[in-house]
Amino acid sequence: MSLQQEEKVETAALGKVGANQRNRWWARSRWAPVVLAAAVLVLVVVVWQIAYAARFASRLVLPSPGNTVASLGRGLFGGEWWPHIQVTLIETLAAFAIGLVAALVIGSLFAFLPLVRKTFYPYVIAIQTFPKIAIAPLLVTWLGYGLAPKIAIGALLAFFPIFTNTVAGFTEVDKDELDLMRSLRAGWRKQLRYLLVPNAVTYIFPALNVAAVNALLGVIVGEFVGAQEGLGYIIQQKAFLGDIAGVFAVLIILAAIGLGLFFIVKFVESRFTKFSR
Amino acid sequence: MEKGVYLRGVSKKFVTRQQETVDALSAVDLAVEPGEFISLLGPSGCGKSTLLKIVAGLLPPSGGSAWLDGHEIVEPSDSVSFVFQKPTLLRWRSIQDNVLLPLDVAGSRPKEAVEYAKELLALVKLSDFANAYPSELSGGMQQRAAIARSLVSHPDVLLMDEPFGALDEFTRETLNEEFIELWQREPKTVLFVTHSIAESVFMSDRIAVMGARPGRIIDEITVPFPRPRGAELRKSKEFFDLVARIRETFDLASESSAREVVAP
Repeated sequence: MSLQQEEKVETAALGKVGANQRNRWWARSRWAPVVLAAAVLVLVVVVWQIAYAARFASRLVLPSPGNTVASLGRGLFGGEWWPHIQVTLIETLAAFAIGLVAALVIGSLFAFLPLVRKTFYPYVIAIQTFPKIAIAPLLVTWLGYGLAPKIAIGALLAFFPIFTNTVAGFTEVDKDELDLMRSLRAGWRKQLRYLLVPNAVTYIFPALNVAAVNALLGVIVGEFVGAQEGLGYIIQQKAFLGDIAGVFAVLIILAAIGLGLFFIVKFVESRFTKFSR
Repeated sequence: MEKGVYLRGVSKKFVTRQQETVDALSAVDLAVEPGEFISLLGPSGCGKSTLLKIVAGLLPPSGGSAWLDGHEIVEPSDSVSFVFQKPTLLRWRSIQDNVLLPLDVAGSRPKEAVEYAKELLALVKLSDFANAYPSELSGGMQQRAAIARSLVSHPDVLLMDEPFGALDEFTRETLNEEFIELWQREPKTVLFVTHSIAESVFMSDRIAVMGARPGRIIDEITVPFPRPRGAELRKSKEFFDLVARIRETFDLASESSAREVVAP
């Protein structure tokens, strides 16, 4: 956040306080959002514990928070899960990378070659609207039980958001901005460098979050369908054995991985784009 | 050194999707002398923006020719700058980097050019916002930055396409006054498109009044008020009289074109 934005936010907050002449702590404190968010977490855990203690649901399907944390601890510190976390991470990163590169290349071809766009557009729409995870079993049959089918389905899911925004970023360029470049006598390369690529980047970054999460989703589905390793495999094993606390514990790890991916992408984005859209 | 712009029988036809031919401009003759400030004044659809784009070298004329000093205009020129109705600042560049864009596109940022950019930012009162991004600025501030950008390459001719048209009237009047002050420090030949009669009278040396269908110049009016012009001019009787006279011109033009439609 730039200095000016901070000033803007601060004056906005001050304005509100001044308007109703009350020093509401949650309007002033920087920590208020953190405290409030933490309060929600505490509330959820408390309700969960009450539900468990009062047997709102059978203990076979709802573990206690304590058991879940214990299971999480055993899995992590016992070292049993680390290889699986590693496999899922590698698959996800590979899927994301392949989806990203393919989307940038094919998206650029679509944007700059009208013939390619006209020829393949109906098929792209067809694939885009198709529920892609439905082909996971087929991919496992074709590519075997290793990493390949998981990476393939993850890459396919990561591809589309980036692809769509790449095409949009190169084609939805303000007409006046193009005229500006022409009036500055910018040739094709300079238009690309100073207008089209930066414009596309502003479209592509917001898609990367979705793509990263999609990659993880595809990988987990792939692991459900057929795998001997990975977190999706662990979830299925635990559910099959009735270890519901274990399932919950793996879900927490997946949530952490998803959040981690989200924040890494956000961080990279903030390095590249200091302006606000 | 300022340069003159000369139009000889410039016309422009567009073909619509229904394959109809529309005469956007019909045989426009106009001479803009070096250092002169001329407004193209007219209702929307009279082709004034089209005319400006032809002068900018962004659109080829269908007939006639446009000249910049002794050279026929066939492509954008180094010595001409364009100011759009929208600020058209690149949102990923800071204000200072936006002002420096013409230099980046030209290939380098010489030290004195960067100094000049800073000077221009000070002249348009944006020194404190050099490192801000366009989205952090108001519409008037963005348009000031766009004007600074148009001046950074030391153009001889400035083409302005309703640059203050999107602003509220108070901001517009302030920017009018600021721009005239700036123009007197940095003299340029200016071709200024507007649909505001008052704005054209306040700003220009001469007004080319345009009519629509087909777009053409229906009158040329010399504005007699001495410079420097201040805000008081807007309240003077002479100012109102000239505004009224130009309004009359439009009324006559629309009456005569109504008669043309009625006549068999």
